Amino acid sequence: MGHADIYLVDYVTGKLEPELRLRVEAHLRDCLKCQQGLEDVSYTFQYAGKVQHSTPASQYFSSIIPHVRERLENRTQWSWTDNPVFSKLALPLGAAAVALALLMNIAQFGPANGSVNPLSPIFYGIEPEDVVDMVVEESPPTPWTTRQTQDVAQAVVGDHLTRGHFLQDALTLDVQPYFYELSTISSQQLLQNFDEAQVEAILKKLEERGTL
Amino acid sequence: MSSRSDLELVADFQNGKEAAFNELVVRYQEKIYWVARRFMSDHDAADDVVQEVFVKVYDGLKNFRGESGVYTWLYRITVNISLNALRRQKLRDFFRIDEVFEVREEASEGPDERVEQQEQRTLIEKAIELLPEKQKAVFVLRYYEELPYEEIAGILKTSVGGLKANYFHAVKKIGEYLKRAHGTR
Repeated sequence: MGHADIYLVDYVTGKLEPELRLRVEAHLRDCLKCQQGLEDVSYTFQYAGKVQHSTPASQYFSSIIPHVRERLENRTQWSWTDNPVFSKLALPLGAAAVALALLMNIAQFGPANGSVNPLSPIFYGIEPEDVVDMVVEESPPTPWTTRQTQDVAQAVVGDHLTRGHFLQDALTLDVQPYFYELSTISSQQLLQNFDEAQVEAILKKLEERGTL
Repeated sequence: MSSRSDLELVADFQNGKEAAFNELVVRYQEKIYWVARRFMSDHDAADDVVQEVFVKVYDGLKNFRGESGVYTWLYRITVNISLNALRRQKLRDFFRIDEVFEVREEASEGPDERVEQQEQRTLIEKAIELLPEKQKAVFVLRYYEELPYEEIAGILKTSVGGLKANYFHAVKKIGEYLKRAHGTR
């Protein structure tokens, strides 16, 4: 047999058929790589078996239905194009647009020397709506009602993104160029690139968060 | 709880019986909670996932045609929502580096048994957190939920052979991480 990798977990947990078990044991006698694999697998089970997870309070499970019902009731259906409140949304929408742009373009930012973007692992798998969600959740509600300019919108997001001394201290210098082009993005221009569904999704989130 | 099958409850719901939804929630809430909890590592985040799962289930039930079992469908939704939530959490952590450090420092103080348990939990949660998404999902469903490979394959829409390889790599990586943390490698 080739390497016994895929059988090792079932071998350790005693779930292998007797015949296959014998073949795995025969292989293990001569294969250092699989012996090492077996050691790692055994260590995991030995350790994981000792760890106990805390259980939630006894009344927790009876609270799920009411909470789910509450979420269902709080949802509202509306179209942004018909809603007069749309005119008040320019600022948060702009902020969300910058956030979306950050996400959608970040992989392309940075020096064009073929170097790997160190931010890629962080942003892998993140959806645009996750970023919007984060910005909307984390930003204080008050700025939304101040001057509605794209500069302010961008400033709100910029402030949020740089909180925690992110650009100054937390990340290495090699990351900073990847954010440089953000300063040239106009949120108004960005908004024009979004389709109706994307705008509607952002508006819905903003309304759900009660920031207006 | 009634003895009606999952599919009967789905049919009831599709015929306008709202109570059937509640019954499905009660039937699966614990399982869903624990899957979410293994992914999310803290109760509040898991609770949020659970609620989101059932909201999605509520919406999806109207169009549920039974191509897969209700149970498989629920697990699939839970895994997807948990992975999405983890991505958001990762993003938040990225922008709140200081706070993340504070939390970790708090978690490692004191010598008593409870703290030791907490440390062990944190260590294994961290090891799981570092796994690629697919390996993470396979590990949670196989190790904690003890689902058969065939069922996991249905949930994650992948082959059994691929799953076994993913599971092996997940378990091996966790072992390597734990050994490094304990200074035995």
